[in-house]
Amino acid sequence: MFIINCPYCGDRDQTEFSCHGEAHIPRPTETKKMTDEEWGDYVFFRTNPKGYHRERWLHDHGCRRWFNALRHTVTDEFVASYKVEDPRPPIPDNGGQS
Amino acid sequence: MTQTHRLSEGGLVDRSKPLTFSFDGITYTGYRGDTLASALLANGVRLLGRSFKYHRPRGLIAAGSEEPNALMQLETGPYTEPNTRATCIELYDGLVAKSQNRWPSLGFDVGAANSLVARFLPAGFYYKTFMWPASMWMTYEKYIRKAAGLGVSPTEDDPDVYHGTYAHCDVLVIGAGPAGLAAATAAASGGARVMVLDENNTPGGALLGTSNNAASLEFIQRSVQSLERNENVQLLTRTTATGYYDYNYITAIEKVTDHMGPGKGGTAPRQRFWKIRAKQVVVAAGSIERPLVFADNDRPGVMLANAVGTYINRYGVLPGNDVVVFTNNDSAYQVAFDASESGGVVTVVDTRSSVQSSLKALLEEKNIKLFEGHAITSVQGAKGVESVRVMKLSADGDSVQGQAWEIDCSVVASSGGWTPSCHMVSQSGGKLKYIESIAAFVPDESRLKKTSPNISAGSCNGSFVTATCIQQGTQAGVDAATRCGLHGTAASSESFTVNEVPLGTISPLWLVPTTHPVGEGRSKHFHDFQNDVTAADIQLAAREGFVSVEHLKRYTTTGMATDQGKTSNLNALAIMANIQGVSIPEVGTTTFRPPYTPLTLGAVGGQESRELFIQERHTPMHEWHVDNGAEFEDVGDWKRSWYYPKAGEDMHSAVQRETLAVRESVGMLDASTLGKIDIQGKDAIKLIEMAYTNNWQKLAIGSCRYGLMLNEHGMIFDDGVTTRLGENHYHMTTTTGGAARVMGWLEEWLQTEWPEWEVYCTSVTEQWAVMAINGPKARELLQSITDIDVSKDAFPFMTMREGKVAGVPARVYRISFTGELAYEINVPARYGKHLIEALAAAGKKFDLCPYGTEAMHVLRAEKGFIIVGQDTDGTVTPHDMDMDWIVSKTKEEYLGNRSQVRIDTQRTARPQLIGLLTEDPTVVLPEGAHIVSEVSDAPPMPTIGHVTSSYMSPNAGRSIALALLQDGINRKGDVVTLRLMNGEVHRATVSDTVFVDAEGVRVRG
Amino acid sequence: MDNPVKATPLEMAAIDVDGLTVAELGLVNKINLRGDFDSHACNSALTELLGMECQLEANTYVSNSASTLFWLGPNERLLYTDSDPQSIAERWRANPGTAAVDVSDYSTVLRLSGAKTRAVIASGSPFDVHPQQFGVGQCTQTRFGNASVLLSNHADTPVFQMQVRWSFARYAFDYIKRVADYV
Repeated sequence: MFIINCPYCGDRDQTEFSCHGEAHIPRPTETKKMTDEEWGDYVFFRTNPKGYHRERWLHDHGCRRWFNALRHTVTDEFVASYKVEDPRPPIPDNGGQS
Repeated sequence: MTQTHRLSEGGLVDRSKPLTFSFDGITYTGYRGDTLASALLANGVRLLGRSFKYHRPRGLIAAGSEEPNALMQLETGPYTEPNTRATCIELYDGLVAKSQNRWPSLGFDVGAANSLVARFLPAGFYYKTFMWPASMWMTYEKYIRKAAGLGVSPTEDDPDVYHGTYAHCDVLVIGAGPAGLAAATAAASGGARVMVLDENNTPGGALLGTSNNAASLEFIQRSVQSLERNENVQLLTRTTATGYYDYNYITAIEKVTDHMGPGKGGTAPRQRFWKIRAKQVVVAAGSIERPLVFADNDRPGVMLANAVGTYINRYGVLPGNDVVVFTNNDSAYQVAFDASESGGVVTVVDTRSSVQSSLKALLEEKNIKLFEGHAITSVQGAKGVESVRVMKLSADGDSVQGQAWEIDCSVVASSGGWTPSCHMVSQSGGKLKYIESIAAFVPDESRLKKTSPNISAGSCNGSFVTATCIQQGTQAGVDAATRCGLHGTAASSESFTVNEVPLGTISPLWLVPTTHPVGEGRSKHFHDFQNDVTAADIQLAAREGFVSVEHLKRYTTTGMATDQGKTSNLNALAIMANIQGVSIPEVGTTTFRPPYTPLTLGAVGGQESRELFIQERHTPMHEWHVDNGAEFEDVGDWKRSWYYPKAGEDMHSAVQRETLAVRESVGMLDASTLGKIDIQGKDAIKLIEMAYTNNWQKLAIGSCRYGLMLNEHGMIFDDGVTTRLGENHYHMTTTTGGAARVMGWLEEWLQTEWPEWEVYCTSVTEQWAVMAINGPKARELLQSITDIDVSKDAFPFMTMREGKVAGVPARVYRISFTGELAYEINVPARYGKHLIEALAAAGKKFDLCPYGTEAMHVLRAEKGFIIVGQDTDGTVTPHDMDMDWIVSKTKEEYLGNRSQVRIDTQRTARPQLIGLLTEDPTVVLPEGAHIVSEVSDAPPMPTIGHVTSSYMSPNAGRSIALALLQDGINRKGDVVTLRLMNGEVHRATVSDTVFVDAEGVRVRG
Repeated sequence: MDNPVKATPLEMAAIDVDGLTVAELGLVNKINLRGDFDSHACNSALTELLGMECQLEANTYVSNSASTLFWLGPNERLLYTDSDPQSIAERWRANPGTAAVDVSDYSTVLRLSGAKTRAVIASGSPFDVHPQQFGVGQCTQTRFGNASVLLSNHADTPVFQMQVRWSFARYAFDYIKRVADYV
């Protein structure tokens, strides 16, 4: 059970949150011009890294704000959490070992 | 004669408080402070159970929670609990316990024949024998479970209550032995919020089992007093840390009233489940002694050396007068001294060829005979130890030789060294390292998981001398506080004498040889008592290639079940390492998993049971529904009125009556549960245009429109009516079950994709109480209680008006889910009860009929209105629902748009929504029934669709159904075949989905 | 119909046991206020509207005799007010880039006091309400059992308020009542 840092409310219990998968996937603008394959890529495909992952979280039982977090999918270490409009924090260069 | 084995003095039991209890129907007495185990031992009861597989007689091995054998069926009736360890049950007056896994009685056990056919019950036996043919497993299983089962579960409701709670601290100390008490004291001195947990009923840990403990008890008392005086410290006894999860989240179970006996705890919960979040954890969990693995080492009377010491010192019980101490290290010599001191006749058998002279001198002083470099090669006595045979070990320890000495004895106290309790650290994700000098694993402080910081101190860290444990504990407490940004101080170091012999030089002898090779002959070398696993099983696993430690565990079942291998794991690893000729760390360890000791599901559930298991949500009119005899249906978390049976009515007749009444006069339905979202801001229209498939730009203020929402896969996920309240102000409604999902969906897009849009969404679901009135007399009824002009022209279909209804402010929406003239009256929730009462009163002269969700379902199905989640299942597009009319062909973009033209969503054979009219109009098809292209006697049959909604429609005068059928829209008029689970076959004609008032006249009336 | 009955979800139910007193506050006017509260203009407009300083740190509240203003999120505040909620909402909406919704009946407010208050809350909430962590003047949205709640600390004695949605009110109340015997 994680402790997650909400960029607005601070450290909170994981049960106040829900996770919504990979972050930074903008919705395509001219969707009608896209091929089935391009659209399928956007709708169906996500990276599934063993290592650092930028993902979207929602503080459901708190301030109800969406935010992003950089989490290691093996160690579950949260390196950073950041607001949607914030620049992406860098991925640590230790290869994810902790 | 009672308590034959109780010493005349000594121990921490209260001899002035005798307690009566029964075991297997015989009554005994013990004292307050006893465990069931110590009380049985005091009464000379040695045979406590039968083993899991071979049904061999078993007795106590341990004095603590590591006990693998003495599993009890405690108490009877609803209070009965299986698989409780006698060593962990505090004795109370009137306790009733039974042995387990024996039939018909403990003394004579039919299953013991298994022991005679043991060569046919090797490791992996079940996998090999009973899994083929697979279909027969169901037959074998019930016999196997009966023969090899543990205790039995209660069949009645649990009469106890349980409590769960969260807790937070700076430093959590697991274990209140010398190291834990020292750590807590040091951490607390710096102002840290400290929690200390200990599974025992009193703090002190291993000190409680040592002799001459006045000084020890004084140390314990002093520490406890100082901790209890500190308001930042919580010291919990009878509390076991059961799980250690990410980010220092530790669960623990507190046995609050178990020690009082069933039903004696008053209003207090029986047990409490703690969910603790700690900044730092000090693990001071102690260590567990390892048994030596020798021939027939499972006879009742063969115990761990420290258990013998603990029964003597803590409970004043000498388990037997003639004691053989069998050891490979020095620590067990203290047990020899204690037993001798208590009047026992003691012999020491030491596997090491040279015992240090100071110990020898002490033995001589106490007249204790020593066999140096010897080993026990056999144990005599079927239901209890009668004697052991001892022979000289060869230099390499692989064989025995020379003269066999027979020693009469009733107790064997064996010690193969000590295994630090690394369970918590391993569960936290920390790695272990092997230390040769103690022949055991300890936590590797350099390989802990970063997110779960902890420090191990005391014997769980490999230190087996009290003074060192206290020293380590103090340092750990200081360090933990410092890591929390506080300053713990090391109190003046505690120094007192403890009667203990340090480990000395341990000489591992993982498998004690006997006169014939292991696995041959009738004697067995058990390393795992609970699962009845022997060294021969490990050899078999190795021969069959199950050499990886995880495979070894699963193949032999070593380390499974209620004791989780507390006494067996390291011995198993070491035996496997020897077979393979590799070092123990090369074999590796299995990961320890929660729970540390078994816990009740009741405690895990805590107070969140029965009506608090899942929240029941009620509308403001709930009480009215109850008072008017409603039956309720669960819709999401809501309790919704299902139907209102009159005297003598069953569900069917009530629903038919309600359904007819709506089309003949007027009905009312509590629609408060629909999700409602207030949307404001200059970009509100942009959001609505994106969220729905149809056009909204031209919606006039005060008008309503139906909309369908798709996810990006293009599949329908919600629907509802949205009304424009003002220039930039909308009121959206959603399905009952989809309310939170839609709110989340809108916020997700607004916050993550279009943050620059000026739109604010606010959930107002409970702000409004909603009554829907439907039927030809709805207008008259409404007009009788409102100042709004509800005439046909002043208040047309799909508009909203504000005014007073029943004297309170209301928004009235003229929308319909029945196809009838209908109004949805919204008032602030505070007036919900008032509104329904006013409607009921005014409705009398209009034959107003309250109706529930079932009639609502029939009414909407008569009109072919879909229910998202019933007629749709997340795989259907608007086109599949024959709802092309709601998909805009003109607007540039909406969510799910592009998916409408994917190859897959455009293919022709997709299931599409159609109506079904059965040949026999009285047949109501079951929902879920399959439409098949060919009927055969038994499945499988090719399915081409299924029924999604099906009812008897009083207004159509026959049964009706909605179904998803491949290419259904083009198949109207066709006759299809349905084959039911019960074998019935029905034919039905594919029809349009509207069964009543196809022209839609009534709704606009 | 001249005198419509007003109801609260718990009909003013109360708990009064050793160490815990719980009361439903009754009808409280509540308005959800939205706007860019990171901006000075927005805050000063609210300060002017309510006649008290409205600049709020995250998870705090401020109050005077007529109003209590809670931080719910960076662009969201909740106002308890003795005034007419409709008129305040209209006046707030006059400011550009704002929204206001009357949510008076969306939820109800429980007042918890007595020595067991913190232990009762800890039974259902993973949020740490220790005085060092959650002092007077602080508020937070969190979870109590399966209900989302707004908790606030009003006195050290202690006095807490728990706001819970109308439809969850009975559940939360029953939850409190059950654990009151256990802590």
